[in-house]
Amino acid sequence: MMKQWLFIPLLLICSVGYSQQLFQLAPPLLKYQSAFFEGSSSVEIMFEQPGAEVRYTLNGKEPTANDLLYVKPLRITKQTTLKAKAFGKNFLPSETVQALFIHDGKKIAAMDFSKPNEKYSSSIANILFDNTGGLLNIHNGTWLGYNNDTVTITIQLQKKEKISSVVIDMLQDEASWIFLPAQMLLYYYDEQQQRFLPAHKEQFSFEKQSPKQTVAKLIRLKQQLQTDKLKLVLLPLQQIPDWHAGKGNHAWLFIDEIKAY
Amino acid sequence: MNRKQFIQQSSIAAAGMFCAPAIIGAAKPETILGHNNKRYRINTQWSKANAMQYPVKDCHEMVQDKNGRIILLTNETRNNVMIYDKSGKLISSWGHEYPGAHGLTLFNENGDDVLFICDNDLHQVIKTTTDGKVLMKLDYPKEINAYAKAEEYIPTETAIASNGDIYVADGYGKDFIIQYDHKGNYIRHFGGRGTGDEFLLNAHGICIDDRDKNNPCLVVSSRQHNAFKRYTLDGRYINTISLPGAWVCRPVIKGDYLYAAVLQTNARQGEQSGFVLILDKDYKVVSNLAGNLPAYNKEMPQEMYQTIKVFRYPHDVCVDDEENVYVAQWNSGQVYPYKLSPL
Repeated sequence: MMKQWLFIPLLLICSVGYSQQLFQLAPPLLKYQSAFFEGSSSVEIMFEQPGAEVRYTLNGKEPTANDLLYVKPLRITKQTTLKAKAFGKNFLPSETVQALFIHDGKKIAAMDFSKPNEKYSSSIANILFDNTGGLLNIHNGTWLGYNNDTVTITIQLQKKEKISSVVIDMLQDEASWIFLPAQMLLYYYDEQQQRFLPAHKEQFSFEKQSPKQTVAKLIRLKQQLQTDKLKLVLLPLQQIPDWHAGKGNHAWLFIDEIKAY
Repeated sequence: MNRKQFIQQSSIAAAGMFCAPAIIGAAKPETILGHNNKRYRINTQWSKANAMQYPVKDCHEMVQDKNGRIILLTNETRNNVMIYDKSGKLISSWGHEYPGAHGLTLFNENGDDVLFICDNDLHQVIKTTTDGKVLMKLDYPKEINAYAKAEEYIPTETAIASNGDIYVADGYGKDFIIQYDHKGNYIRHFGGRGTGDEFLLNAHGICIDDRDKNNPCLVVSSRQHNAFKRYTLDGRYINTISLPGAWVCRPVIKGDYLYAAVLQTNARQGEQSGFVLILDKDYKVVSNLAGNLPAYNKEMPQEMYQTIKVFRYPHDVCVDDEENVYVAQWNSGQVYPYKLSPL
């Protein structure tokens, strides 16, 4: 870096007439195949801007100029939240970008799911447990899109397991009318009673706008369950809230992966 | 140009960013945009027009006329065409009847400058003098069976060959390039949508590339393919210039270089992620203004992306006779064009 200062005399011509605005750096790009992985995964941070560098954290904290300097692709071996931010001496720091890397859970044998909208459907039977996805592009073939009232997903585990949490990966892209569901209900199959019993219920609120992101919704169960079958019922938002340009219309729900731990 | 050379060149660019406080003693440093021999300083306050009196909506395209004046086309019908001098002083304005004013091309016709305006809403191409007198209108091409009505034709750009032939890019319609003679008689059409390399997707811009005087060709944006596609002047497909990640608007040739506004990038769609790119005579990326340092994997550029939030949605560039670059922007808070001056 020091060598660059030698060039300063060459640049005496800098004219006073030009505005000397301080610009903000754009966020770095996080490049990875999938947010879900078995074993390990790798992530590259792209940001080729002379005079700027990328700092990152793996502990969920906001990166500062003193955090880890990105130099080469990172290997991910466990559940990790990567946060990255570009800094440059003569720029405002970028916004923070982040990605959550999620390792595989209990082995799943099969999933049955409600028929998605034709435009955002898939012929891949294990689409919701194939360890691919977690990216923002709704056309990349990993997402199922719904604009109906009820989405039911039945999860058949390979064997009876102790289940303590469930993760559902969804897209939040409100500018494109894609919202989290209004309500989410989780059931488990009780062998003795031979029926599904409620395990968790959650409402979502939509009072203010959220940024475009994938949301890996974690459901922590109050108590561990013993089961080989789970059922998830998602109720897409039926009326887009008043602050949105599409107010009153039916929202979309996009989902691309489900894990049980 | 290899990656190492790029990095060497760019370290000089980095040094440039430190110059202002040292020399002028200003509080803030100056930002230098671009790479290699195509680096610029930026003036975001170039236009001296009074925004209350002469507002803009989308600033779609710009050209320079033979008198050195800079002509801007906006879809603001209070003044569709704004004529500036190079210092940013507004000289005159005209036009209230072009609600969908989008494409602006200048052609010197036997010594006189004429303009070709593409209007998305009127579904027409309008040829005018530089002070707004209408000379000709081209309606939707009834000669082509694919078009049943005017609404299917949404021209975005024209290019005029040296013999006066008019090429219209139907970039928001059916993505055909329609060739007419100078009187507006249909000759042929090509491009359109399909699965082969010769097809287009969002044929947003077009220009005549006459840098090789013996082999002039057409360069057409296929914006959603993140590419330019080249054709002979009679519509035969030549090849594709892939520009991964970059939503390239209109190609603009000046001297040995091709300049283009990149509306946004694939990585951050809908997030004001635009920049400006410059290609050399071999269609190699040499500089990205507010974008990443260009790098190649063999013949293919690496994915391109915005690195500095200077622009929101750049829509066109105009390069004047002194190599200054003007950048007009779409949907960017009704900002006037920015002017960039070469180092």
